[in-house]
Amino acid sequence: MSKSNSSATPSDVRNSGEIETGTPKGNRSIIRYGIFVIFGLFYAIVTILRPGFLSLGNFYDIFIETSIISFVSFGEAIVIAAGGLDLSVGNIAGAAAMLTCHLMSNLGFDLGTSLVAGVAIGGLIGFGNGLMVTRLHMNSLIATLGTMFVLVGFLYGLTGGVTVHIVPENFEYLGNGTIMSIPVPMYFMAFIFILAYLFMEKTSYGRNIRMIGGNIEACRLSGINIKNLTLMTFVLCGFLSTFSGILLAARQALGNVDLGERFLLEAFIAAMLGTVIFDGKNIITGTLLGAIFLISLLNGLTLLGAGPQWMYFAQGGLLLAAILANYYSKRLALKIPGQKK
Amino acid sequence: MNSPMGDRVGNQEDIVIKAERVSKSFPGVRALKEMDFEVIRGEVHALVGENGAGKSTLMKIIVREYIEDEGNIFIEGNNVKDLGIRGVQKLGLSLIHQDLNLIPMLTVAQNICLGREPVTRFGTIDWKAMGLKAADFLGQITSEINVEDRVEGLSNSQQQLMAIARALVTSPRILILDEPTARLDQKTSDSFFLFLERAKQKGLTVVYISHRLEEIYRICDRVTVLRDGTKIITAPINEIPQTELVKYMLGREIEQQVPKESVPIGEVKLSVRDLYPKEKGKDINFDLKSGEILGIVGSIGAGKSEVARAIFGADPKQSGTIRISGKEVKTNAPHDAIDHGFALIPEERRDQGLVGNESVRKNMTMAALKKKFCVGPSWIDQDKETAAVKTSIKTLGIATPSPEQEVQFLSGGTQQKVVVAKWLMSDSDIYIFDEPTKGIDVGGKYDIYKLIVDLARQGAGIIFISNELTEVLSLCDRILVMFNGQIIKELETQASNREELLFYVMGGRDYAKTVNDL
Ligand SMILES: Nc1ncnc2c1ncn2[C@@H]1O[C@H](COP(=O)(O)OP(=O)(O)OP(=O)(O)O)[C@@H](O)[C@H]1O
Ligand SMILES: [Mg+2]
Repeated sequence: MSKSNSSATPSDVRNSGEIETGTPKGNRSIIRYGIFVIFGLFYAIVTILRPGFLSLGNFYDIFIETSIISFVSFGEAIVIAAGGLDLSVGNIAGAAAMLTCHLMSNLGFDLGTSLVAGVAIGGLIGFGNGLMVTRLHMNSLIATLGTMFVLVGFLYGLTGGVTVHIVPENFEYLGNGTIMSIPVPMYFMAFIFILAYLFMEKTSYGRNIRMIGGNIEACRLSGINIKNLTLMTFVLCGFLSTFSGILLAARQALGNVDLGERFLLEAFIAAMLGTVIFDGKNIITGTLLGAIFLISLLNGLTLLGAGPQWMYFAQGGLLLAAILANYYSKRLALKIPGQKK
Repeated sequence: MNSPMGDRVGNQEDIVIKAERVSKSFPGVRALKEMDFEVIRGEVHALVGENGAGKSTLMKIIVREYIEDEGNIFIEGNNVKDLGIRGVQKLGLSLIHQDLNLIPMLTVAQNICLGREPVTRFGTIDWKAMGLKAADFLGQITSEINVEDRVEGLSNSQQQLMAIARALVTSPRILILDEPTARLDQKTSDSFFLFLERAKQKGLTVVYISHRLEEIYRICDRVTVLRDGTKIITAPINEIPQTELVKYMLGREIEQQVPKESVPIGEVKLSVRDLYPKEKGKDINFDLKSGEILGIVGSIGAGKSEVARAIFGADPKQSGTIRISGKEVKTNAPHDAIDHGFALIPEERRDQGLVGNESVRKNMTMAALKKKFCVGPSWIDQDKETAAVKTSIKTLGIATPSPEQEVQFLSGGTQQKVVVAKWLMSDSDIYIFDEPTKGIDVGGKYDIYKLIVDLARQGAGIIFISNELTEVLSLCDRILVMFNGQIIKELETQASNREELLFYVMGGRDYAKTVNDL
């Protein structure tokens, strides 16, 4: 008995004539194009007013800054994909940077050991966050809020709040050096981007992390180990955050206690934009684009001579817009596809 | 036109719903093509057709949740073009969705009165009046639900009854029911039909969507068959025999026979001993042999799903041992159970089976991703994955424009097929099907029965939980009847019949004696 024949339904026949390739998405792409259009307009205006915006030197600035925030943004994006939120990313970055600087400059450890320690502590803190969420069943928002304040304490305790200035030359190179006239941070960014992209798009881990964010109960009943995967997202996030912190310290050639504080907002914006840009698909590429958008926005505002209040207005506005866009893209998807009027 | 009823519908006054040449497209799918549809006052009008034929879409257009691309709709002569959802409600129309759309965190009363809460003199919500109002509407259908309970704690069938009560709040004159009995068992369905009967006598007009043809013959006056988004025929139900009806629906004939060529039954595969699920049920003992299809029946609340979930590790157990081929195994979480070769097709597709905003492909391979579609420990082999998904789409006749379509955009029954497909891919040893054919069309049901028999033939053990006694009787080798959390009877299918089964489902004790006494 040939099963495929007996069960070819008229629906197959009907659809075969009318298949559109790719994923049908309806109105949702409006939001994505909206983002591109708004940013395009902004760039055009900045370019007209400040032609220097398009110079190669400024591009490098934008890309170095983007590289630095990209790691923490990828980390946040991964946590968000699984349905969580990590508020401690900025402080993890700060703790990693300060620990590295302190070990290197104040205690005389060599660069390699100090870096490993810095990166390891990020992973460890992430593990702690993950344990609180998966084993103690704490809300990720609350758990990481706690971590955030504990880390502030840690930062002050480490050096008594004193900024670490003297850092070795080769450490600074990580943030300011170039290889073949391309800034070193961009190499790191490219490397981590590819790894993160492959992890999220091509491995079962990345796939399942996203599925958990969609419907955790269905995932549990399908045998996906949701505890371990959720734990993994926090470890990865902590681990990735350290890169941002350490590279920023290297670029500034100093480590201070509030070094990482800007990252929470920036990472959150980049990750939210990243989720909207491709409808929650391909979040790593989306997040990179989000980071580029954000940094060039801040850069453009600086060129226009905007004060810090405008920076915060812009970032806050962008964050709200991204969250709203996220919300509406879900609603558009569910409620009124193809609706006229 | 070709409607045998055409001449009898002389009086235009009596046409309460009239849809003319309605078309509707979604990205990648033409859901409706110049569909015509007419409902006469006071009738129960059945709307049937395959999964994805466009039934729910047409109903959503009539109540203005979707807007048609082309065509006209009249409710009692009023063109609804410029009316919103509230506007058609004022015309006396109410739709009960296939997927209910209740708010789980709120109480029954809050859900029923949502948007029309009674207020006190001071403009605040009058909770007491709300409870009474909710109880009043709920009382028309069932007496088993407390209006103070939260909806998330209710069983499937209670939620369904509640959704019906909610639809009554607007005092509709036309009630549209989208697969209302998919979640109900025999007993509850029967009392629901009585309710419909009474409502009809009071002048209610009903549009009734269902895949259960028996009930359509039982309660409907006329039937419209929809296929691929167009009307095939409208006729009085008693003028179309069932085989004809199926042919109209599918555009072809099918053998409505479960291929129960006897599958050899082997050794005991699974033994459940002294199982006490935490949720509901006590002292569960049974064996399942390889190649055997074991039915579990019982009215809603009997504890069938709870037993399945406890075995699978989805819910905790109080105590009990589970052995596979004589060896004790621990199933404390679903992933443990899956490692031991279990598969559970859960009863609620939307909450328990699917990730709505992901594609058909990712949903189908989700349970077997590591086992079958990865190179090395975790690298996904996408070509292999897509090929397997395409085969499944064919075998089960899944109505999707492509494997990349998000499952939330599929029709209800099509979503169910995706859940079944997911587990058929898992290459398991022991399958527990919990209401697998819920919402699935006639053709799809037989495809699934065949696939289940194939699994048995390959040596798997199968537990088949269902409220539809007919399918249990035709598919299963042996049947366990549950009542109030316990297994009260074991029956060999060959030596049993529908009446006996129903007798035990209702909690009867000794069928032979009762029959003799009569
Ligand atoms: N919101 C939507 N977006 C995209 N496609 C949709 C949407 N709603 C329905 N469709 C498509 O329209 C077609 C008709 O779907 P509909 O839900 O009306 O089917 P149905 O007859 O109710 O089927 P079932 O018996 O499974 O409930 C299907 O192919 C479905 O995939
Ligand atoms: Mg439907």
